[in-house]
Amino acid sequence: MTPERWQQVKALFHAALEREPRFRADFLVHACGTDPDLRAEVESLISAHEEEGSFIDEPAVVAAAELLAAGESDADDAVELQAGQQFGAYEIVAPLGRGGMGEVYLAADRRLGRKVALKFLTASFTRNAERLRRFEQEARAASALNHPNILTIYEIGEVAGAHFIATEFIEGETLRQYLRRVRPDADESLRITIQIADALAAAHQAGIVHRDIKPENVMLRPDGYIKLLDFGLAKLVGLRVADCGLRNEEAETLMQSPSSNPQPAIRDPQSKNPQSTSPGVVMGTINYMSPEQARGLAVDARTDIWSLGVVLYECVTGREPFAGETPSDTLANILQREPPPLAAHLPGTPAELERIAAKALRKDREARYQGVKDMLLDLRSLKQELEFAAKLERSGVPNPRAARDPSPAADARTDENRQATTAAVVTPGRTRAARRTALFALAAVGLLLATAFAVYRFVYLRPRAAPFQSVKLTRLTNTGKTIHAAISPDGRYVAYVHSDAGQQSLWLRQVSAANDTQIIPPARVGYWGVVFTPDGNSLYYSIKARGQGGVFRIPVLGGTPVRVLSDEIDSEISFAPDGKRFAYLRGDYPTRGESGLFIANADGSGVRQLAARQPPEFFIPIFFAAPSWSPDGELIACPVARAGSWSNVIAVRVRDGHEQVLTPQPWAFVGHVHWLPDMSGLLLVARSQEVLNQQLWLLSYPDGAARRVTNDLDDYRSSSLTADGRRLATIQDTSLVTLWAAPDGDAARAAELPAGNVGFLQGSGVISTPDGRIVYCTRTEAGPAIWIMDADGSNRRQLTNGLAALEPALTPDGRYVVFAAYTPQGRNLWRMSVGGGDAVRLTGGAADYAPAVSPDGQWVVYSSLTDGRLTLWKVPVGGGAPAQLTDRLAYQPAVSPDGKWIAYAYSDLGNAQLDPKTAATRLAVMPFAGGAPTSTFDIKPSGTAQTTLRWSPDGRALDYTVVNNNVSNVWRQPLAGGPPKQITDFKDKLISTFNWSRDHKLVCARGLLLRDAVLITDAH
Amino acid sequence: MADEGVTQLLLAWGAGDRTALDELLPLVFDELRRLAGRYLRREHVQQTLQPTALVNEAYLRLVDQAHVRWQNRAHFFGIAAHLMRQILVDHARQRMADKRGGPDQQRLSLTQAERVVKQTEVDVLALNEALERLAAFDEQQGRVVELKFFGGLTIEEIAEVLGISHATVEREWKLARAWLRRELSD
Repeated sequence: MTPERWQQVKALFHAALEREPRFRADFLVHACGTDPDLRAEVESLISAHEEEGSFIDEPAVVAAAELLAAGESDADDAVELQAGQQFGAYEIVAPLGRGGMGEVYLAADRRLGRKVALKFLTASFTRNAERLRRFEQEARAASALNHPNILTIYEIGEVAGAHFIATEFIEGETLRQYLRRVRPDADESLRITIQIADALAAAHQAGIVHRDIKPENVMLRPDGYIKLLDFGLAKLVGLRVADCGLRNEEAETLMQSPSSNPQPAIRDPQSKNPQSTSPGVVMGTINYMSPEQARGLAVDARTDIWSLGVVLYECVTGREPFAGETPSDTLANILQREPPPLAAHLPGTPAELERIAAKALRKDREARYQGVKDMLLDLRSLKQELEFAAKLERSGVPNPRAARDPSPAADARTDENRQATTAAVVTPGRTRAARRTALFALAAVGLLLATAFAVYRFVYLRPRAAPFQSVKLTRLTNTGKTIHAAISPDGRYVAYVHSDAGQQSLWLRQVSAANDTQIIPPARVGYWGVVFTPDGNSLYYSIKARGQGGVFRIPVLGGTPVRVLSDEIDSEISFAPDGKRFAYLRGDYPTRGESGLFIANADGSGVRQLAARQPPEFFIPIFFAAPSWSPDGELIACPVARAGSWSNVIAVRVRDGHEQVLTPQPWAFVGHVHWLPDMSGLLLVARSQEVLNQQLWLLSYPDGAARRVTNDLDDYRSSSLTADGRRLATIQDTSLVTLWAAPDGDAARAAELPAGNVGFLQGSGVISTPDGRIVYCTRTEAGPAIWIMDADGSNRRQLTNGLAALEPALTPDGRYVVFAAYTPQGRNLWRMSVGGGDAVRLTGGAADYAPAVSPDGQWVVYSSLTDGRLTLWKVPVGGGAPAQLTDRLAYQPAVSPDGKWIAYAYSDLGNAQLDPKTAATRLAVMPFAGGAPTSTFDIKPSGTAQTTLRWSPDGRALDYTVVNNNVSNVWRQPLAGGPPKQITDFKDKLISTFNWSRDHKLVCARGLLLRDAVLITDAH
Repeated sequence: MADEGVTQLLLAWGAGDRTALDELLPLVFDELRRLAGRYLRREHVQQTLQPTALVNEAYLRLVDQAHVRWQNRAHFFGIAAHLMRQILVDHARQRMADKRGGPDQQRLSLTQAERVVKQTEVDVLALNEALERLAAFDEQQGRVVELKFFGGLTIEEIAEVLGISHATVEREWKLARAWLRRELSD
């Protein structure tokens, strides 16, 4: 079908349908003339159209939503198998239970006639092919371990898309079940931990870390053997573990009803037990988590030592040493609290056992047992010692060592002394002693090396002052239109991208001469980054343009650009130190939603994917994010985000793709990252959870401590460093918005109010009190806040402390301010006295917006997200139950000066749609009590309309702002009808919010958004 | 305020980087998934899932309203419809793959997918393929079907999103539906 032909068909189809059925045949015969195919086509379409029954009339979105939701819960995609069913070579015997990874069944292997445990991985774990592959790799490595204390894995397989692991079936109970039943004595506790340690020693030797040692993963066979389960599984869910403190809160939020009814959280009724939802999985785990796991750092074998220490502690005392009331308490305990000594729970605990537990539970892993073998030796020695002592006791010989020695002096003895003593007592044999000596020798060498390294670090790395501790900031451009900047390795040049009127161009600035040269003329393309090659001779830039994008190279001093890579690229590139390869990010590759970190040779050949992410995690593919290749060439640091929750920075090892997380705490956003030349840290462009604007930070490596480099109210976008790491170029986004008062809205008489730069917050609110003071919203380091000042700028003070607050409204007596604020509970309305004092929360909806106070001072009218749409509500100013005013979608309420009417904006479509093309958003006026609108108005003229809506001071018209050619003005719609009129005549700036004072002054926030290149120099 | 990342992406897009819109997909998907789950878990049975309410809420939650130009929302609806289509098609494909595993093989729980088929009474994959063919010679009709069937938008809403008149949407829908119906009955 050609489009032309289709147009013919279309015209005839509709024309025929407009005619009565009995005339259609004749019409088509005439209309189609000598083209019987055309007639047949139209006729068959008409008959399909007239066919009875529904066809795609019901939207599929409901079904899609169910599928979406199904993906959210592990319970929904679990296998449900019945006894007797065949699954590959296995026959299901009985369900055994549900683990964190999915269902577990007892099954019979028909080939070999043995019992097996079949563990199915749920789709949520197997969806990520790369993670699954790594898991399988790890599980296969573990299956090769062949140790009596490690559960034997028979098969890792897949049948009909279901991934499973077939393992040895153990009859017995988990250590968790055992501990519920029994309080083992010291000897039994040692017997258990020694077997776990033995299994771990074998695994660690093979390079496998368990990561999830806990009583649930230890099985006790009736014959006394211990079996350790689930090697490698923890890795599969590694990020969830790191994220658990947040996940819990997030889970709570998720379960809250979105209606404005502030009822308690509704639990998922389908959830059979807390283990079946993902936060539950995490919560089951965190009591045994090591501090480094809790911090989200990379883990190694010492993590298993910690967890084994927790298990040991729990065996001996029956208590979990760090368990808190909430997961966050537990995390805090793990990170900060020293558990009480074992003897506090179990008086008479051998001091040596106390020491072993304490050494396994050192928060600093450098101070912990460095190998599980060392711990195993200590545990075995102690066990033998205790057995020896028991023998002595039974034979009636007094044993001085059997007496407990709780004195600090005993603990102060060095490990070496202790080991020597123990060894002397327990193993008088010469061979054993010789082995010991050899071990000591090795340990001594190790210690020496460690000391030497520490000295090296101290001597060679310490003297350098911390980078960018004190900085000097120089503005490089002042057009307000610079969107990228890159500094040359020698710091002599800065390349930058200028963006104006939808076109972007590339320029070179000679820093000393302040001399600009255009390298590439303006074009309708999007630059996604510019970098200098390490030799400083060329520039590489990434371009987004339909079909013509990719990475280009151009000599610094001008020339013809050469396309080196034609792939779609979604970040700036970062060169390897030798300049022979570069790294970059791609989104939606290889399929939609997936993203990856790639490397390529400098000529664009040899593209290879190094790391991948699937939703909800993704490599941030945007023009203000970039990876960074480390100066030693081994690692690529890269920002990663999880949709809706956090960002962090990972380092991917170039050699083998091994990943480690560099940020112990989650960030609100991380964009550009850049290694310092000595690899002591990275520069980040990021927003922390606390500071809401995007600043430059220094993340030290490898310990992850973060410190701010910039400390202002601007936003930064990028970071480009010189080779010596002393200077960096970045883009600073500045908003210059100030408050103005214009009598009768007369632009010529507008006067700036001395509130300073309030930042660009659309609809944020400014209002004049009855006594002429100004209440306004301004941007602070901690987010938006509400301030008050006298009209002359004096007596300026912040009203809202500790709340990100905006949209202030005043009671008519000027005594109270009602405002919206963000808290972990949501975006809600609050009230506080203008004179100061505590803020009181008035609403508890999912998201409440735009409060307006009625002139009688009794009610706050506002819009609230209710069942997915904004509707109007009112709540008493003094507090009380909210009442709904509209069923229909409505927002931006404004109460008339006489208190009888509420004006609001609405859209028949659904929500706030102010589309210039369709002008769908309209204004309505309804009685204060609610009900159908008495009149409605189109918003005209077109322009980028925005949301502030006010009554005119005389109550006879509605006022709103309209933007034309980057200039905002206020327009007025008379209630009596007729066309709206422009009532202000500002010639520049955008208006972000406005209001009328009682004496008819227009108070408003007006200003500009500027983006410029700046140079930051390390002042040391 | 935690959603500023999305806002930034939308702003970036609004400022001329249209490609930034694509970067929203994983975020939108995640949010839709969370919301859909929450809607379906709700105990109040009378509150049936309103497709546009779902998308609206996702939008509102993702976008800090104060910062974003409203016209982006139309495109947000477009994305959501496209995502919904993708989800159904992927699921149907997965189901086909499972079926090919052999008749005696245990299939993973397919109730979800079966519900889809009952609901729509069409073969999602066949519809998807036909829709691709249709879009090849009439892009606008392809969009109308995607928004209406997969996105659950009303005629008025589609008119809004596509910037065309109600009458045009109705005509396009009528013909597209007839064409698809004929294609699928062959």
